[in-house]
Amino acid sequence: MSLASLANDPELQKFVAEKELENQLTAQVHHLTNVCFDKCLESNGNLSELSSRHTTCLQNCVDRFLDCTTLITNRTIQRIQQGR
Amino acid sequence: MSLEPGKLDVSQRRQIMTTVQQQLAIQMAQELLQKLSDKCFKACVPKPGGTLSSSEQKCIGQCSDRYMEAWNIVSRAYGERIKREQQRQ
Repeated sequence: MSLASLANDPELQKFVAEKELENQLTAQVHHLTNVCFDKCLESNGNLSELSSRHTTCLQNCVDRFLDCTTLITNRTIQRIQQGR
Repeated sequence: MSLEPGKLDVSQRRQIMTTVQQQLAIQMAQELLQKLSDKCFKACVPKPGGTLSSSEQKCIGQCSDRYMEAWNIVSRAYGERIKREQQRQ
């Protein structure tokens, strides 16, 4: 097995590309959990269970964080286009 | 054994894929453990003493359980969000 054979194998390349995407998505889940655990559980892990209020908070947190990211991205693009 | 020089055969490819898969799984587990330790140490051990008290241990246990549950909830919510975004396009 040479490096050339690894690089030229289309099925392997497809596999690697899929895994990289999976990795990015998982990394995003790690980051979201990190942020939302603090926000929704107030950094308090000492609970015997998660209430439905906690669950709703976590779900909202994910959506609002992504909304926030989208907003910032669009705003940044606007600024760049306006040449500021 | 390759049938053609410079090409991978099926078993070689499968072997590489399995290795890559395993290493990614290990990496993910390590990252999760790191986050768990950080969060739960911060939440449960405000003033480190000579040992971990039983209440601290209980807190850490519950904390890691809750964090894993939160991870699953977030993962599901994220997946659904992506699906919604794709349907919108």
